[in-house]
Amino acid sequence: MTSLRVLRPGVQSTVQGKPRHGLRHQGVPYSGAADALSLALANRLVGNPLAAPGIEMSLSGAAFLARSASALAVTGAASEVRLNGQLAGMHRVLELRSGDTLDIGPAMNGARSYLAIAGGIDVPDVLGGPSTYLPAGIGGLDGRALREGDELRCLHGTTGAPGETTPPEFRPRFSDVVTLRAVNGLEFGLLDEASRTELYGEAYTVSARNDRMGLALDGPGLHVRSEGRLDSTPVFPGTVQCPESGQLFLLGADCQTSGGYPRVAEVIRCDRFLIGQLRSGSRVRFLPRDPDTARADYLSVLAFWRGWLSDPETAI
Amino acid sequence: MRRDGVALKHVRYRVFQSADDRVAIELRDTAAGQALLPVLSRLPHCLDAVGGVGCVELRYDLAAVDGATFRGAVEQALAGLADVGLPPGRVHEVAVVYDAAAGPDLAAVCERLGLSRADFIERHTATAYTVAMLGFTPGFAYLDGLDPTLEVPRLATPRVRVPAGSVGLAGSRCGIYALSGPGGWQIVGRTDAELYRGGAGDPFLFRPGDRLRFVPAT
Repeated sequence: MTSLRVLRPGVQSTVQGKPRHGLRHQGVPYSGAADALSLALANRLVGNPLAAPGIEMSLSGAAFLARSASALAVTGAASEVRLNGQLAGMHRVLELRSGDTLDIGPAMNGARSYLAIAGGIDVPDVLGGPSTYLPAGIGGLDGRALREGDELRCLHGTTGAPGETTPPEFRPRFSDVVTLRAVNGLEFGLLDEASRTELYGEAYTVSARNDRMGLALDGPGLHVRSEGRLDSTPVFPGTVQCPESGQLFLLGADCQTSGGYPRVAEVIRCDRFLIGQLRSGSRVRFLPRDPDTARADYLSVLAFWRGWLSDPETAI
Repeated sequence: MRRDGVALKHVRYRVFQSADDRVAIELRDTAAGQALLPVLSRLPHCLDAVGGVGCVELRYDLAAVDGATFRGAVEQALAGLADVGLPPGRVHEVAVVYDAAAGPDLAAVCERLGLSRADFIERHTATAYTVAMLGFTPGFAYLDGLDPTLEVPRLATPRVRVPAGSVGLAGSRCGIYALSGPGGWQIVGRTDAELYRGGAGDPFLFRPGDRLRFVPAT
C-alpha cells in the first residue's frame, strides 16, 4: 500500500479531483481543483487520469513523507520543490523511495500548487465525487483540510515515464496581473452606463476576502439599477456578481449553486482555470467577448492542449 | 398531495444564451422549471440543468455543440412537451427546536416583528410549506408558504458556517440547511431530522413539490 504522510499541511491543503457535475439542481457545488489545468498537468506526468485525486496546496505549499516508493509530480504556482532538501524541480516525474521527504515551497506567482501521485489519492466518493468541499465538510479526507500527521493512502498506479517533464510550451506561467475574457451576464443591463464601461475598462484588485468559493474585487464601485436583491437564480464558477455595494464578487470552484445578486459578467470557459490562481493583491481585468467568439477561443485552446493532454476538456 | 401538471403551451417561456457555455430558459413558473429539469438534463451534450426562481439554466459541452444548435434543441424539446408536472409530493412533519442555541437570530427576529417567542412559533408552525426548489448549498430547501407577517430581511453580514438542520428566514421564504454551509438567512431554529442521507439513491430528504409542516420539538 502506497501512502504519504503529511509533515507540514500549509495554510490550506485539500484533496481535489473530479468535480461533482450534474448535481447543481440539488445545490451541490462542483468543487474539484480550483485550477484544474495544473492538477491535470501533474496527473499527466505520473500516468493518471487527468482529474485523479491529488493535493491542492494554497499559498504556503506543504511537505510530505513518502511511506513507500512512488512517483510524484508538482505543478502550479510554487517556485521551489525540494526532495530530501535538494532542489528537485516542478513539472517533472519525481521518483521517491520510502522515507524520502518532498517539500513544496510557497506560491510565487499565482495562488495554488498541485501534487499528483501515481495511482491517485484513495478517498471515497461523496455525492458522486472525491473532492473536498469544506463548507459542508464532505469529500476528500474526512471533509477537511489536511493536518500534520495525516496518512494519505494511494491507489496502485502505473508509474509514469521516469524523468519525464512537461514540455516548456505546456507549462502555464501564472502572473499576478491577469486578464479574464468574459461575456455579459444576464443582469449586465442593470448596470448604469458609466459602470458598463468601467466593468471592462478598469483593473480590479483581489481583496483579502477570497477563498475557493469566490473572491471580492476592490476597484471602482459599480452602480446597479436594482431595488436590491433579485430572486435566487443559478450561478456558476466564473459568474461575476455585483451586489448593491458595487463591489464585484467573482465565483470560484466551490461556489454556491444559486444567488440573489445581479450577474453582470461570466468569465468564459477557457479562462476559468485562471480564477484558481488569483490571490490577495492580484490585478484582474475583464476583456469583453461575445459567446460565439468565446467558443472559438475555447476550441483553439483545446486544440493547443491536445498536443500534450489526451482529453483537455476534462481540465479546461 | 398531487400537484397538477402544468400545460407547457400555457407557460410563456424564452430561451437565450446566458454565458459562452450556458443557455437560460425564462418561464416565470418555478415549479414548471423544476419539473422540466429531468427532461432537459437528458438533452444531448447537456452537462447540468439547474432551476432558479422563474428560470432554468443549462450548461452544455462547449467542445461538442455551438450555442445556436443547443438552443434549437432546447426549443424543440420544450415545443414537444404537452404538459409538465412534478411527481406527487411527499408530506413531511419536521420537528424544530426554537431556542437561542438552535436559532441564534430568533430573539432579534421576534423583536423586529414585535412578537413573543410563543406567537412567532405559533405562526411559523401554522402554515403548510411547499419545497419550491433545492439549491444554494447541498440539499438546501427553499420553501414557499411563509406567513407574510413573518418576513424579515437577510442578515447584513452572512455567516461563514450555519449548522446542518438550521431553519432560516429571508424575505418571503423559509429555508432549511441539509448540510452545514455559509449564508445570510436569519436562523430561528434547528431540526434533528435526517435531511442528508448520503449513500446510493437520492441523498436528500426533500424534493421539489414536497409539502411540510413544522412542529415545535418537545
